Amino acid sequence: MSNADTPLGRVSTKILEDWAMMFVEEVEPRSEIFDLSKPFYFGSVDFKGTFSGILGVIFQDAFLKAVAINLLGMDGDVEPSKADKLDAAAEMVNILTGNFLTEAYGADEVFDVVAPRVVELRSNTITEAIKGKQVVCFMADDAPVAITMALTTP
Amino acid sequence: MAYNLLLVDDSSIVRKVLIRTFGMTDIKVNNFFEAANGKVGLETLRKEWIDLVILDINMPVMNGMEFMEALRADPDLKDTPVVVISTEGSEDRRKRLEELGIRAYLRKPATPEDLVATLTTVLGGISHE
Repeated sequence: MSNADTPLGRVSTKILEDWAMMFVEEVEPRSEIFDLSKPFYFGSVDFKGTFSGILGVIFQDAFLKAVAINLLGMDGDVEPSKADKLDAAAEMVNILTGNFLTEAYGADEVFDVVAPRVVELRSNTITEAIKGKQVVCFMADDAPVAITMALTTP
Repeated sequence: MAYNLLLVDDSSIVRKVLIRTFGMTDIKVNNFFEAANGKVGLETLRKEWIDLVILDINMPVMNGMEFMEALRADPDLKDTPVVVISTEGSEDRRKRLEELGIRAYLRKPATPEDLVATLTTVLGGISHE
């Protein structure tokens, strides 16, 4: 089964296509889809409720730039500010989390979510970051992105 | 009529996208006021004439639910129209927001078309009194 057929995959595809206005293609979840010589970022949101966990997104600057450009309607040769890029990523994680929780657990469940955070990751932690989690990976406008979800309580 | 709008959202890029979306519509905006949380939003409302608040829910310092409760408890501000745009999917929380008198609720990611249709309807019912 493709991971795109899971609640995480369906929501991720919808948000990347409809909100970030990206062309997405699912790819096999492995660290080699990324350029290991360039910096990585990890955006995440913790959620607490009947089920608690963390939804995360791993990406690099090419993905950040594409999202910010699409949202702000900028020309592709213009470089968005780092603040706009990181803010766009944080908002994307926020939207992904809210929609994933409803898709996976229904509208009757109430979750508290904390504000999204984005941190830089070291490239040698990528394999660990996607191991043991629900994960779906895409090439989005030719930029790799991995979306992960792990429950901290059953 | 040109409107004064208050955008309360901790994401600056969301506020920029909203302003950009308004720029592509026939809705005339006199001033956009921006706040990164509910507390700053309330302070702005006490200083400026605002026709409509566009409100996020999940924010630091003072979230959207706390903002709505404070707004409705303030005799000078309680009638301010509010449209919520949020990722919140809980039916219970949506019902609570409706009890607090929001004019409309849009789920993120809302399309520009949904946004414009909703705001046109809400703003059409607002007059300077």
